Amino acid sequence: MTSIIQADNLIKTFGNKEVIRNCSLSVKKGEIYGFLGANGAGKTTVLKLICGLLRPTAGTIEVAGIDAVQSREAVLAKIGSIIEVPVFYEHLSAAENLRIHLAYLGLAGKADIEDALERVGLPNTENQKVATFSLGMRQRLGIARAIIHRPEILLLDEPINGLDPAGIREVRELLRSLSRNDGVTIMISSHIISEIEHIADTVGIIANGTMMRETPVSALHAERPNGLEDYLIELMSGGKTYA
Amino acid sequence: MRKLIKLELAKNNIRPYLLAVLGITAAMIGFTYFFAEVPNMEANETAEFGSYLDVVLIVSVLSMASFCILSAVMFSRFVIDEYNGKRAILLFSYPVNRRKVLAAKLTFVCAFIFIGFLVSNTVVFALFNLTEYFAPIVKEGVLSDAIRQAALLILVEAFLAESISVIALFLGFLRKSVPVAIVTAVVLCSPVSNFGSPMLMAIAMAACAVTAAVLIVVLSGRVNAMEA
Repeated sequence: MTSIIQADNLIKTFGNKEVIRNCSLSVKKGEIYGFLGANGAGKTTVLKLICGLLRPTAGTIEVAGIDAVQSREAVLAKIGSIIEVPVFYEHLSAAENLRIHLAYLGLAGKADIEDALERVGLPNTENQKVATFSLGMRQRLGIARAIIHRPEILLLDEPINGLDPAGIREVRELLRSLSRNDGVTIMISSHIISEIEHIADTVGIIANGTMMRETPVSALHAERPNGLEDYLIELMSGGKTYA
Repeated sequence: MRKLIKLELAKNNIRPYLLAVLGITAAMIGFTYFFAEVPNMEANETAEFGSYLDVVLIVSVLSMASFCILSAVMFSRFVIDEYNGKRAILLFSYPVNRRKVLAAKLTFVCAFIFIGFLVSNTVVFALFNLTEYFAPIVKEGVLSDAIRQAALLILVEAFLAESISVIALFLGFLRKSVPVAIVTAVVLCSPVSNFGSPMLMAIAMAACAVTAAVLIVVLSGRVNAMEA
C-alpha cells in the first residue's frame, strides 16, 4: 500500500522548547492508523502540523502527494478533522452548523445532513440548538462534521472523549465501516491503549515528541502474544526506542 | 467573496446589532431636539449651539462615537473571537484562502456600520428637517446649503468611524482582547469629537483611513501566517 500521509524528520519548537523532535510517520492509504501517546506527548501537535494549523520548524509533510506546508488549502480539501474539542456556533442548530461547514467546502446542498447525523447516533436532532447538546452529543456532531463531506482522510484527535461505552463502540464501528467500505484513511490519536488496539491496523507510538515505534498491530500481537499493555506503556513513557 | 460574506451573516446573529442601531437612532433623535432647544433655554442669546449646522455637527459626532463603539464590538465578535483559541482551529480547517475569509469579515462589518451610520443619521436629520419646516426651533431655519454641508459632514464621519474602528480592531487583535479594541475606539473618538470643524474632521478622516488601510494589509499577513 502507498503512503497517503508521509512526514519526515519533523521538528516543531515553541519558543525555545522543542515539542516535536525528528518525528517521522507514514500512514498508508485506506488504513486506520492509531496514534498512541501519553498526554502531552505531541499527538495533537503532529495532527495540527499535518493539517496546516501549525508550520513545522523543520521537516517535510506530504498528504496525498501534496506538500502540506506549501499547499495548505489543497491538503485541507482532502481532510475531515476533529482537533482538540470541537467548537460550534452555539446559537445555531446541528443542521445549520453542518450547512455552514458544507458551504465553506463549496458543497452546499450536496450532502445528506440527516444521514450524517444518523450515522453518528444523533437522529432527529437537526433542529436542536447546539447550545443544548451534551458533551457526548457534541463529540458525535464533531464526527458528523468531519465525515459529512466524504473526505479521503480523517484526522481524529481523541474522538471518543466524552462518549459513553455504547457511544465508543458505535464510533468504532462507524470508523471501521468508513475505512473498509468507503476507503477512508483514518488517523486517530488516543492515550487509551485498548482503544487503539481494538481499532487500528497500524500503530505509531509517540513519547516526548519522538516516534518510538510504528508497526502493524498484527505484528505486535505476533511479537507479544501475552498482551501489549506493558510494552506499549513502556514505549509511551519514553522507554527504549524500537526500530 | 459574496458567498463568504453570506456565511458571516449565517454564522452570526446580527439582531443585537440591528437593535443597537435602532437604539442609537432613537437616542440621537432625542439629542437633536435637546441641542436645538439649548439656545432657547438660556438667557444668553449667544449660546453655543445656535445654527442648524451646529446641531448637526454635535449630534453626528455623538452618533459617530456610538457607531465606532458598536463597530469595535462587532469586530471583536467577528474577528478577534474568531481568530482566538479553538475557534481559529475551526476557521483554519476550511480549504479557503485565509485572506479572503478575513476580507469577508471586514467587508461585512464595515458595510453594516457604514450603511447603519448613514441610514441612522438620515432618519434623525430628515425627521428634524421635517419638524423644522412646520415648527422651527433653530433661529435661522434650515437652508438647502446647510443640508448639503451636513450631508457631506456625515459622509466624512462615516469613513472616519470605519477607519477608527479598524485601528481599534488591529490593536485588539494584537492583544487578543475585546476590551482593548473597545477602549481604543473610545480613546480615538474623543479628540476627533472635539475638533468642532468639518475641515479638521476631513483631515483626521484622511489620516485615519490611510492608517487603517496599512493596518488591514498587516492584519491580513498576520492571519495568513497564524498558527492555531
